[in-house]
Amino acid sequence: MTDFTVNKLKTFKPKQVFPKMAGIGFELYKILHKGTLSSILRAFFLGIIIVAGPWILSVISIYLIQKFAFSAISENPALFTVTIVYVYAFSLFLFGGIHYIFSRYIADMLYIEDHESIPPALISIIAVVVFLSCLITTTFIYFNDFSFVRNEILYAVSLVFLFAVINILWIMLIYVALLKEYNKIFLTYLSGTIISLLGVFILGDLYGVSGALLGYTTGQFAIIFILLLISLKSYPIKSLTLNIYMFKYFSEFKYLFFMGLFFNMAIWADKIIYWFTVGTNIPGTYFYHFISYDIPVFLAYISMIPGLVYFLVVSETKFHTKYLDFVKNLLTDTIKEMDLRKEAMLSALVKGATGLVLFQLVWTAALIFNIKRVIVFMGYPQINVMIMSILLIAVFFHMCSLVLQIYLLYLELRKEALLAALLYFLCNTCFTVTGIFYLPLVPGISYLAASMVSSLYCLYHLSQKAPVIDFILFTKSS
Amino acid sequence: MDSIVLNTSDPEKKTICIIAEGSYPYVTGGVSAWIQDIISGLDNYNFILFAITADQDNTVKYDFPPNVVQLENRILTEPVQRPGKRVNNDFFDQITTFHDEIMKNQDFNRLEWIVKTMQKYRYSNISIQKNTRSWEMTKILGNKNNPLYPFSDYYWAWLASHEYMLKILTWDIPVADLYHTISTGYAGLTAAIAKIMFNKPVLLTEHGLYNKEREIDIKRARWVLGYQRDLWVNIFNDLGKITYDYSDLVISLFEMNRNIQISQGAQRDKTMVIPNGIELSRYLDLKIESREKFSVGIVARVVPIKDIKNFIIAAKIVTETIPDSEFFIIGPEDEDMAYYDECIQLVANFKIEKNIIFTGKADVREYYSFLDVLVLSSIREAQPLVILEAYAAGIPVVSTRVGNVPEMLDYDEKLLADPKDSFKLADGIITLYQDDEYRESLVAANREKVIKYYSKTDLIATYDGLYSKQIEDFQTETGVS
Repeated sequence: MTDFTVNKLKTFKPKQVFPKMAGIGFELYKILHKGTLSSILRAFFLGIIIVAGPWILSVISIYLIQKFAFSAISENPALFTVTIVYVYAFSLFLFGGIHYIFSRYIADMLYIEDHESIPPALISIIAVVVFLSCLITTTFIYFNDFSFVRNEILYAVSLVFLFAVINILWIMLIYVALLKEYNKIFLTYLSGTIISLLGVFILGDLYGVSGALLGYTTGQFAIIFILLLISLKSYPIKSLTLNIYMFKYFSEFKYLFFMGLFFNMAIWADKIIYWFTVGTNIPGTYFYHFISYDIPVFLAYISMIPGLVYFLVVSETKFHTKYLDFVKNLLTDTIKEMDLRKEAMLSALVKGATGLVLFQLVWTAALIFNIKRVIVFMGYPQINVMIMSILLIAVFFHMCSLVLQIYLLYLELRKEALLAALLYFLCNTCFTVTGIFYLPLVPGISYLAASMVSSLYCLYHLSQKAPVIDFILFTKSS
Repeated sequence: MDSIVLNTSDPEKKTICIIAEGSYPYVTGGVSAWIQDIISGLDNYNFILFAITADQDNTVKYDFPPNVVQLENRILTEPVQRPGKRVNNDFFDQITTFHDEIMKNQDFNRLEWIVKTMQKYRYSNISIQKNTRSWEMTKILGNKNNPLYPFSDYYWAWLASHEYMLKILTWDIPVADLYHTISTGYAGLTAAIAKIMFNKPVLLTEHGLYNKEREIDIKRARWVLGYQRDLWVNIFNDLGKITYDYSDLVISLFEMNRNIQISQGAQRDKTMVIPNGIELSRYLDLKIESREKFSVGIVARVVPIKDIKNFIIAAKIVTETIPDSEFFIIGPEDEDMAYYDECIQLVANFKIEKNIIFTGKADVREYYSFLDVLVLSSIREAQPLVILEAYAAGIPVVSTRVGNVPEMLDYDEKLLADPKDSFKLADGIITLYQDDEYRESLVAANREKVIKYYSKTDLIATYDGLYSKQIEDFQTETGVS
């Protein structure tokens, strides 16, 4: 009789449970907890820069351009604005999945303290993103007739460049979260935006919309270039080698890729569907816009920023400490220790999530009650109050869905997170199409409904599964 | 899991299902040889082989006699392909009570319900083990039994140990007139299932003592920590108890093991002793042609459990007194190449390459014809066939004090050594070399004993009788003619 029963034991080993990182949040948390008013403001301000720097600045830029540099784009103001909107929208719509994979890879490398692999990973992802974005824009240009634009070639070249640059910018945004150079990063964004504005102003006057686009691109390029220079200090690029291991993450973390893809497609689905159904077309091109929805959407998105910063600095940081405490000790804890750590983690989750929801709720309510004044203050008195209010509520749920999905990912509930994103996408698409063809058109209502469905789905699974997360982790790893 | 039809079964004959775990027909050794003898000796029965193995790569090491009609392979580590049916709460309630009853008073009565349910619904081990109810139970029992060690260790031990049992509970068991299991453990559990499902007689023949052997394995394994050890040991003891409960006859090879079986929970009136048997004619007429050199042999596979190194050390000690003695290690070397290499190295270090001969797999009779002494240096044995063969061939034996060996050697202190005691082993060999008269007397007495008690013909006749009596008794009991 053989000794196999005991030998079999050796092969039973739990798989590595990878936690994500929240490094940036910790730094800000430290600043926050100095306790003074100025430190709190500073933490939140830096949080905003890290979470949404280029995003806010782009909104401000477009606003400033339309208000003060109108002459520069007077040749075809709609073309300029729609071009910029398309670039941002489609860069997120198409590349959201890649962003998730890159974040995950960086987080894992930091966790195992393999700093050598990080710069080659950046180079690789930039190479992929540049290649894909050039392919996409050139294809797009091929199917459009831009002959009505002055300096057609310049316009096309600028468009190709801008799309690539903005795609790199999202990547850099993930990357610079590693660095603690908040002031330098802020100054970079600021100077890049000024260059963009000046570029639009000067080149726009000289070459029309094509020049304005080139000018805008120059400023954004300056941002990614300077960010790269800043990052070199902490993560020097020794040689231009590719990191093929990162690409293996695409197959290993398919769910993450598709989750990022679906989530970004979900939040853009209604906007894009509106463009092509009820929007206005710029003759000769596939450029569409739906001004009465597009502008409120951009403004409403800004309302999400305080919530995201709160999450990053407070909720996620507190949760992450307890989470690591739980996960890292899972293999050595006795039952009592394990249960105690689990309870601590769950209570951090609940506290962080409710705190965040209350915070965002109060802030959103304040905006809605003062909606008219806000609209006028922002300089868009023509915006429909009802659409704006719907969008503010929708953005609230959008943020809930995003945050809950992040919690799901922490707890390795990948299938649920992926399905939440897919559900979000399908709901938004279906509701929007139904709204357009079968119901009176109320822009934003489908986005609101889809965001609610997705949030509730996440909430349901989180409340069901987080309490038995030890069971799930153990059974999944065996 | 597969089922291979080897020969057409004779409808006139009764069918016996032999349940063997980790042995016949894939591993050579005493137990497998014994099974081969029983099957080929009892051609008035059809045999179904139910072979339980650890993993996929098995090669058949025996020629099947023509009365082996079917080979059923079951692999414990084979993943379950069947999608898991949802397990209802009632099942878990029963399982919980089952555990309570075992822990309170070793009561296994609920097993019958569990077996019937598992055979009916075929729940996969995954759908049972990866269920929140199981998790709750594991945590409650873990907290009770293993409060001070990491829970994860306890969990993996639970997962691994219960995986096999749950798989076995869903196995297809072939229909036969009698089930004969060659050990307790997983084979024993299989026999218990057969008993519950088909109500046919079950025989258990234990060569060694399965749960004792497993206990030694587990205590040796360093990665089994804390309560996990007790968990595994308890499970194997419980499987032993289950096998004893569901067997109609509990057979051991010698008295000492029978007493241990009784102390482990076998009912005394079910137990009996049937010793091993050898084919006397193969050995009795071997011509003894002593060589010039003093020749000592060991007939064993070159594996750690046989402690060949012990033999080599003893050989070294003997060569100090008898410089031109020869030592033959007769048995296959390919089972554990690392151990074989270590043995070769040891021989080289002792500079006794001239005295030690590794023969590889060979016909033992060639060597029995001239050996002066046969040695057994094992750490563990039951009732070694080689001793019987040596006795029949007229060779005296020196051995370690393991299993039934002391009784077979008449408790003769001159010939017995503690396991690992190479000096005492060497002493025994030298005694036999020096005292011719003593050797002659041993040879005569041993021969007489082996003829009287250890004949294969008797062994087979005994089992023939047991099989037919059990089958008959059951037919009258259940009213089937």
